Amino acid sequence: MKKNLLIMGVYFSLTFAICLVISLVEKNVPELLPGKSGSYVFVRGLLYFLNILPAVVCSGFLISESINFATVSEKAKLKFSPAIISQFKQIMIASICMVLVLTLSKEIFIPVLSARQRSAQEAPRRVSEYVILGQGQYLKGNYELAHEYARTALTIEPRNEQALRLIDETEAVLQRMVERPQKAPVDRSRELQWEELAGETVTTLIEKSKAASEKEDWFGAHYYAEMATKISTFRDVNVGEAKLLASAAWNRLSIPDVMATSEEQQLYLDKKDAYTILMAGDNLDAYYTFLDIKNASQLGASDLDVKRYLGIAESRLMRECFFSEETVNMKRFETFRNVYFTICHDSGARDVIFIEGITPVQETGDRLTYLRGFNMYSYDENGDLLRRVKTPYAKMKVTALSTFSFQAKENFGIKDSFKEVPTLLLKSIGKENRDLVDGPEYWFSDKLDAADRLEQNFLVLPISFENYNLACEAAMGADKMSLPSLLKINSHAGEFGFSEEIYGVALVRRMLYPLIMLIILILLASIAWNYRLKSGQLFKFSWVFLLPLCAVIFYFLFEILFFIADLVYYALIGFSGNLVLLLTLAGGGALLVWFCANFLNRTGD
Amino acid sequence: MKRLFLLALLFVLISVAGTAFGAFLCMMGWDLTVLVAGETMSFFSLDFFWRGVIYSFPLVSLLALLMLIFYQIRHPAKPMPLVIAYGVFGLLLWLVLFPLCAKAELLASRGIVEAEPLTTDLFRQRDGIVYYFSKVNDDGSTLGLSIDLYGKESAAGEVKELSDFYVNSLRVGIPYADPIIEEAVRFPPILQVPLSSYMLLFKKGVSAWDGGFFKWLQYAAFGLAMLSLCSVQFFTAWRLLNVFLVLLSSILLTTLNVLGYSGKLALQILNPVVWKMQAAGITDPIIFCLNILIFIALTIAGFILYRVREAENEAGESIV
Repeated sequence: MKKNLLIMGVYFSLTFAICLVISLVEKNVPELLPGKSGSYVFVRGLLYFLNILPAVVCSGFLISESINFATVSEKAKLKFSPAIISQFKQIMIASICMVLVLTLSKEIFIPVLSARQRSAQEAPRRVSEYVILGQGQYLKGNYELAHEYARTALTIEPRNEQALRLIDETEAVLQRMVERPQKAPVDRSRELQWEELAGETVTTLIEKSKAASEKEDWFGAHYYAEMATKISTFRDVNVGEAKLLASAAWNRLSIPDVMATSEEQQLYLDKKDAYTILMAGDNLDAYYTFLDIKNASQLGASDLDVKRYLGIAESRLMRECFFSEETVNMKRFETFRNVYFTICHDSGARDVIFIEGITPVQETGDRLTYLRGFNMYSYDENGDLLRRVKTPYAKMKVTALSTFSFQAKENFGIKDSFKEVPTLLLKSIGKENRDLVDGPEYWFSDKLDAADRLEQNFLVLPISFENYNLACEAAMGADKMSLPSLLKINSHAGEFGFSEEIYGVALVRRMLYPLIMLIILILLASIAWNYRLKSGQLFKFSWVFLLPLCAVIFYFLFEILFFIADLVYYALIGFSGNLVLLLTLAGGGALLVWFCANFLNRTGD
Repeated sequence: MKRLFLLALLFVLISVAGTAFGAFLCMMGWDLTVLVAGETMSFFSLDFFWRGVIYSFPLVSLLALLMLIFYQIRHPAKPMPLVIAYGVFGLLLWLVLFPLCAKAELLASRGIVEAEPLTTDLFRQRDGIVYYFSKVNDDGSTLGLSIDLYGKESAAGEVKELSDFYVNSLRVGIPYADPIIEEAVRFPPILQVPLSSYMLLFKKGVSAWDGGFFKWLQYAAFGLAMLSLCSVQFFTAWRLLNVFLVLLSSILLTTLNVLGYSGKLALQILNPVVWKMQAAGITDPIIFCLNILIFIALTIAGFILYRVREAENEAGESIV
């Protein structure tokens, strides 16, 4: 066993060294970030080695066992002798270990290293993209955005001169903008929770309105009373009281107390205007008006009412849209690119979704996802286009099914079997800049009624969140999907616009890979026994130079074998449909048992 | 006699089973070229299977001959039965069965199987552009959209509605009826060379047969060289290495013939000799001569090495 390990260790090291040398000699190194070419060449060599690993492992195993059996064969006088059983145990353990390594290499190491190489190749382009974006935003006067882009560029290339210069320039401008007087101390007792109506009833809101009146917080008194009237039903006996409280508070707001200074008087008037806009339901305008008040003076910045209602306006606004600034860094962290899939309706109609890039974010327990370049094309059951919507960025939240009414489920095409569904905000606005608005573009077919031509800023995808994730993975290709996902999508791929046969073949190919490799290794053990060195024969050093040729032959044989296996899987899928996995596993298992028995049958004669 | 019978049985079994399997694979391969994703695959096509037999038999039977050598290496014995079996089957193949294959290839029908129109509701990628057909009309015109993933024809990520787009334009330049199948089958690039090499030799064989018996005999010099590979089994004392050497030398010999028949072995200095031989009716003189030389060299080497191994074995036994 030790001898075997030594032979294989030397053989593997030599092959790895050859792969590294080939990678080193090969000249086509792409344009990379400074100092990255060394690791790129090393990983490329490692990838070469991993790609030929099955051939190296099998040829190494065959050679080492062929040498090893020279000493053992004499003890195996009979079929199923203790000597051969002992050898079989060792071979089985070694084979399982090798299969494990090969499977890990195929399923994990090669995909991870390949992704790393791709990322290294893309890095220079991405750095220059972020620098250009940053410079563009700087020229437009969006210094915070420009700073963010420069910072992102530096996370990829910390010594990029242009990005460093942009950081210096933006920081200088931002420093000047931030130089404001110290904030006055604030009375925290009047601060309110901004979560609107969380667990509130009409009675509690009325109580809060009264409490605010007692503190002469007329904005608060009016706000709570208004909220009470909004959530009350016509049967609610308290609605009259709420209206009275709201009216009284509004009257007090219309006759302001004597102001100490003209600045405070102006602030009060501005606040009232903004508050009126908020109460009218124009959350976007209310947000920017309160923001203007906050930014205009130190008095406005420290005012509790401004802070409170700016927060309320923002939280209301975030149900309709999101801030563009949230998406600045997102492209860098995209987990999926060029995702396309279909959502199949019971009627036979389909929605075709295309998303350029997807970035999932974990934020205070919410599963948020930013979708870059979101497109949705809806086709009816006859294949005619009904609706088209596209937006540069969408923010996706996961919403539980329980939050939808029966009517909403009907309207959005949500099935009761879904646990959670993806809901999308399609409009983005600037956090500070009123002019920064990116909204959805809609197009409707004449076939649609006016009632169906709603240009909303949100969208509910009629697909379960689980299936949405599955579809995103499937769009990357069957070979790049994780095995559990591939198992789940098997026989459902057609619903997402992918060929069921191809995903079926990929599943069988990947599931059977360890079993096929194990069968091959056991078969090779028999071959090694048959063609072993003669007892007492010495291993000649000159033979070593011929061994790499064995790996080359094995490489070709594996390419042929796996191509033939794919063709056979196609045929089996055609015959047996979804039973193919069971059939092939049973067939492979039987073959393994046969080869094991064949090995145990060996004798030294 | 028993061994001769065993070798004959082995050769026939491998040839028949291998040809049937090879024909099945060829049939599957051709079935896939006309398959459209989402449609039911109709497997058995007598036409495809027969052509599969014609194409795979020469390769399989040559491999069967190599298997006889492996059998001899595995069970060492006096080489005469192997030489007889090898010689008889070699002559049978090169003088009877391969000419029959060539004749069958010349006579084989080449009916064109019409592919079905492409199915709807599936994504198909071709040259970095994804196509989705929501409707395919009888005349092949479509409704749907295309997504330019990498900006090949427009901006990256641009989605366009299809207009005046016909499904057949997706089939241009690929040997498959459906780009999905092409993407999924992914014939390994590394196998393109051996396959095209085999096809070159196969076609050369067919045209040699078509050119008359004398030309066929020249081509059969390749078979003669292949027969001499029998000698490689004696090259080293390690049986496993001999197996690899037999495989390797058969690959090298095939490569040499491919290079010869594709005109890559031309040497200017040899031109006068080449012209003279061509005037005498030998169409590919260089490769013909090389095959004959290899046959002679390997046969002599085989005899010598056999004697050496025999002497080594006798010495080993006497020591024991």
